[in-house]
Amino acid sequence: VVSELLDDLRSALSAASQTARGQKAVKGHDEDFDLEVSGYGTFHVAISRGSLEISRGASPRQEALHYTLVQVDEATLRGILGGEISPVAAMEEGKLFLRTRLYGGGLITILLRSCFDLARERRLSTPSRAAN
Amino acid sequence: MIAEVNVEADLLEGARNLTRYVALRPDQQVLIHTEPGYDDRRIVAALQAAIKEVGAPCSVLHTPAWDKQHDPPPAALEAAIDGVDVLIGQGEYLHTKNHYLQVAIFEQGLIYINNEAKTVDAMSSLYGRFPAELLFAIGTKTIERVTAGQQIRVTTAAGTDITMSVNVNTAGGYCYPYTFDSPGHKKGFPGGTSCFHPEDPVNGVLAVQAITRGNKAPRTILDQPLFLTYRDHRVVKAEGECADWWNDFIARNGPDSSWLAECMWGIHPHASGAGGRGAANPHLLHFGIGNSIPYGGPTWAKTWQVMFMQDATLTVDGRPLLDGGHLTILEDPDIRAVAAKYGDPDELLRQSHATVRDQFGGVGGERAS
Repeated sequence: VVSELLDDLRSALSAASQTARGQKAVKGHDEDFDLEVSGYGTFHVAISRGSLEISRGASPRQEALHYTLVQVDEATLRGILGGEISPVAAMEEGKLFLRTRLYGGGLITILLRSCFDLARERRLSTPSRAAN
Repeated sequence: MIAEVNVEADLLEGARNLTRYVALRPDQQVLIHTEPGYDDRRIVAALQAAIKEVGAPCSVLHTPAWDKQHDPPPAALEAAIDGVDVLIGQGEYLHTKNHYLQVAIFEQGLIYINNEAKTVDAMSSLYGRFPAELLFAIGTKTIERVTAGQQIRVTTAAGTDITMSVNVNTAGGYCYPYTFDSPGHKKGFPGGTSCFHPEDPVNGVLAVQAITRGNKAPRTILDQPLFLTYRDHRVVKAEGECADWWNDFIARNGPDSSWLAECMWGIHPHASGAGGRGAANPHLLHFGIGNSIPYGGPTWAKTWQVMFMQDATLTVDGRPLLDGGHLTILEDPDIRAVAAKYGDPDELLRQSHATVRDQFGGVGGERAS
């Protein structure tokens, strides 16, 4: 189950990083994010020299001004990746926490918003059963 | 507009400096927002000229004033933000806890720069023209010192004595290259504050010398301190001036409204209240109390309250970073070497005087009444 969530996260963030908005969040940055998913452990999202890597476990590099801890539950994370709840809505509902410096962490929320948008676009472009 | 206004050389240099802090690029769309009382045409013209030099498209939007905390923004501003990369706020601080700004910053990647050099004098002075590289060097060294330690202690002659710990991920401020967080952040220009979110254990006493007005405190600058005793991150006792207001405030809003969320102090040696942000002077330190969620903290509360104190000593594992309101890093040889690239290090790093009064009543500060 953990592997499945990791695969879904990797797939969604990789696609998000290829969007125009996602490229702005990734290009030229050097930043580490740990996604602490309650019950599922920690996933490390590393932005380094314009590329994105997602792996299991905590970041080995936790440097001041370049590291953010994200706390979220699995349902909320899946909700964002599935286009059901936006990152800011999740933050405002107390379901997503950025433990970071003042106004830090925006790169990961921008990427998650791109995941959310891509999922909604997929849903709109997929014919519903009723239409069939 | 540019042709009609005489933009003095120092003012233009201050405006250019803003573009350097932002690391503005030609492909970024810029919006300057002004409102009544914050619409000096000379500053707007200088900003337009500096942005034009970069080659970035720039628009100016003048809106009516509104209550930034309680009223929705003008629809034109909300719509305009959708189409720009960089918003330069020449008006009052736009409270970033508002939903439209949370979405703009954290989802759309807006770079919101609150121009804290609000007057021509402030923008033209060494405060507005302070080299970005030097400010960021002071700031990053400050953050290095803070995050290298385990225990932070803040004391003042007025009676503050509080200890906290710190995590590496929650130290920052308006003091390091803005590009680290671009896009998707809010910063002040020229900024010049460092901060961290206090981590447990948080125990001790704050001797508050000035209170911001957002939560209807009866006074701003106090004759006698308000003493707030902290145990486990929350206030357990209030004594002194305005203690009745504080107790009523907590009774109405709950104990998490006393959560010690942010410890912030100035690192800009030339900050003052004369059209700039007094809180960016090392003589001033303040605590943000209450809802820390939008700022990277763990605790939600109904309110946000800022409390100022003067001439604090802040130690990191016993070593002074602030010493009676003086930023000790200003004597660091590495910092002096960076300063020497831009002029006389003694002049650039000489810390100007400031008191809590510098943060209140001026164009760039808190409301005094």
